[in-house]
Amino acid sequence: MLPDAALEALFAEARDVEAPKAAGADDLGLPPGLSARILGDADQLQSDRAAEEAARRQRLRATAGGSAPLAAAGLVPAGAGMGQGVLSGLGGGFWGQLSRALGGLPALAGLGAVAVAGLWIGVMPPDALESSLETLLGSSVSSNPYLVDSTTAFDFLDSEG
Amino acid sequence: MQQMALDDPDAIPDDALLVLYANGDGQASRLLTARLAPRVLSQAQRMLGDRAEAEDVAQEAMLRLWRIAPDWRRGEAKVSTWLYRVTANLCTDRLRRRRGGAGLDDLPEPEDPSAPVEETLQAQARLDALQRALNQLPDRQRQAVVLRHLEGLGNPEIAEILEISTEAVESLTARGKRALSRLLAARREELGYHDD
Repeated sequence: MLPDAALEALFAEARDVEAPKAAGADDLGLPPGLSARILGDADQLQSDRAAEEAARRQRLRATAGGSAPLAAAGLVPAGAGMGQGVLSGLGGGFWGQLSRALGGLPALAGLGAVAVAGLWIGVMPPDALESSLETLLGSSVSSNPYLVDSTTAFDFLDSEG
Repeated sequence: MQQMALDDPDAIPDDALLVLYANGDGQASRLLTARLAPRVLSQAQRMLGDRAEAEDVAQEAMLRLWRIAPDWRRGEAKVSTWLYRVTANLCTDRLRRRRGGAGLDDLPEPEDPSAPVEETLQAQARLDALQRALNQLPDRQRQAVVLRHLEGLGNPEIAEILEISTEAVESLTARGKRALSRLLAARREELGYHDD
């Protein structure tokens, strides 16, 4: 066995001898070729990332500001931002945000359909609904559409002076 | 690209430099390379015993650092510890591939091991003998000995690098040192160590 002290001395020698080894090194303490390779990788990745980020921002701008012109120019895939760019194209920030908050164009279409159906059921309630209401309320509910008060609040104000 | 506006770049911690690099700073990669790459190269060379392979490992380890930069979470781990771990794993992979394709006898030898060594052995020849002995250690023992006794790291950091307990590090380094002592004992005369 080599004495422990001798081994420790050898380790110390190995640690110290790194400096002369690096005598031919560049200012980064590396062989010049290696520095160039490492820094080349770093620059390349940084450039790639910057390009990706620029492309991403361009896509976001296109989505927020109406994508039709850019889609026509081939810069944005057709259909990109569907349901989000439509209202913002019409009215600007508030409507765009409201549209996105509600879930975009498909959600707004569904909401509109439900509103129309609700209005129609209110004006022309089906027989089944009418009988159910009679049972519930114990009174007769007319299905005559002419009984719907068609006068507006303005008419009322007008007649009252 | 943006440039660093700080007066003393040496005072910037590694992880902050990594964030600067991820944000497009043009100088951060140079500073990080100067700080970390020589250590990576040294670790790889001691693990592999081959300069060209060690340079490839150093480049690959630094490449992984550049890649992880945008996702780096400050405060979770030391950059240098992470890099030592990556280097250790890359070296282990290479050593396994080397064993798969070639025998232990094909490990790179800095010089003919049978060549007689003069009594006044040069420092480089001593290091060659140490490297040859290191090459014969099992991978984990070699990693632990290199990190502890040649890179000068503490046991807790080595435990983090090798992802084992501190006790396991102590055991590995102790066994590694005993193995080195045995391997070098046969060459003690050549190394200049004489019985009194």
